[in-house]
Amino acid sequence: MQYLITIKNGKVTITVQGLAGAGCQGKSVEFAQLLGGKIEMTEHTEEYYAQVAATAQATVQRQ
Amino acid sequence: MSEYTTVQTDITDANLLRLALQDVGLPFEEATVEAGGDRNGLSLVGYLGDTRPQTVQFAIRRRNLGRLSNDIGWVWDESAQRYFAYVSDYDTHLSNVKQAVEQVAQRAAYHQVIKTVNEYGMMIESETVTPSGEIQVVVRTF
Repeated sequence: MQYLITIKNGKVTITVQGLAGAGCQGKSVEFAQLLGGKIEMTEHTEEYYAQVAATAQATVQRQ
Repeated sequence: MSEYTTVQTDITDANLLRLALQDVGLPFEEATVEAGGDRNGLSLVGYLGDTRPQTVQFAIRRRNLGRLSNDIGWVWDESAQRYFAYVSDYDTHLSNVKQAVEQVAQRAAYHQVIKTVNEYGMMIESETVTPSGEIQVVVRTF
């Protein structure tokens, strides 16, 4: 996992680079909180994409 | 007499604030803190030499800022668990004072990042400072 940490005007922003598993995302949020910063952007988890695909399929089936 | 404005910071650690002040390069004073005692033992002084009611833990004296400047300082707020900066209304319009306060915030944030990265056992891949002063640090987990 790779992070780009940007410090601007004393504010910290963390960008997660690469696909994050659910566990890694939790660690990223914890890491960001320790830095007193925020997660600006992150790749979605594989579970998220699976959920989006399942929802789209369910929508198509209902039509 | 110019009143002091209180500026909230994200600085929560005296060690990081001390490192940031050292980075900025202006001479500063730090209050002597006894165990369990009040951290904010330094009084700020105005441009006429008048002692102000504001007390702080870290101060940059006006002689190091400019002839018409007032002291600037950082006070520890126990209830907020963070530092606040005191800058006089007059000095907020002076670019060197504004720049000093902003640089302290920037350097303190940088040291917080490096401390946390080391605590997490991460590896620093690169560090870049853009012309605008933005710091970009790329870190990788092992």
